[in-house]
Amino acid sequence: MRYKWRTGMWAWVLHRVTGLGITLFILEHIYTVSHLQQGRESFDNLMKLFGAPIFKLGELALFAIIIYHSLNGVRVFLIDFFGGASYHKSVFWVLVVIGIIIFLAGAYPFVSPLLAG
Amino acid sequence: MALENRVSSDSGAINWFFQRITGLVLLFLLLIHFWIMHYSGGEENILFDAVVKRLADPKFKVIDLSFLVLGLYHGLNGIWMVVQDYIKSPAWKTTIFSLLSFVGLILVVLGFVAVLPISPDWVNIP
Repeated sequence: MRYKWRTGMWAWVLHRVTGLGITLFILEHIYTVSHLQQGRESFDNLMKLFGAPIFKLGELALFAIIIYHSLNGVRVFLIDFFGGASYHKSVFWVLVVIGIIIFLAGAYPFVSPLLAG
Repeated sequence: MALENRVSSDSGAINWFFQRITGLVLLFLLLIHFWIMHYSGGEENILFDAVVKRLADPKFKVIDLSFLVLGLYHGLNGIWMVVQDYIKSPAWKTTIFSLLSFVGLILVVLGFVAVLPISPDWVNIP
């Protein structure tokens, strides 16, 4: 396979990489939810652990990854069903701006408890 | 189904189509999930009592398990699509397909085992 490294190609590769990351996260999520069976202390300790800065950072990364995959998914939808192939590049950059806005607005509730100490 | 008449069953067209449909449904489930878990309530909304109360409600069991099943289908089908782009040997393809199906089945079972038994009584257990 030969790759042409233009906007659409990067978008496509990133879509696959972020998709793989999100799928792996489902594993972690099942593990977390299964802690409910072990009672309040076990589950809330895990939640407390996830409140640590390193996990908050991971959460923000996951948030960014999910925003990218969702918005690029919308772009794929436009290309495949709404004749978007002719305007996919401009859609990409419009979605980049929308994605950054969603990230900044959405990241605040994640980080605010940390900032409050 | 008209789609099946036009394309052979292993062309990938049906996978391709389902990938888009599940993606769209997942986007809506994701918005619901984010709103309820992370934005509509405070910090305690993801702690034991709040989570158990929510997941004891059959409505949430249905929403969350649909999210799980569709998410796993979409994720593993995505991996399968990537695999098909790089692996050409039929034997390897069959092996990987079986492996992905098996992993999907196990994860669905683990998810159901974790979520289905949750009852409101759990909040009273110290």
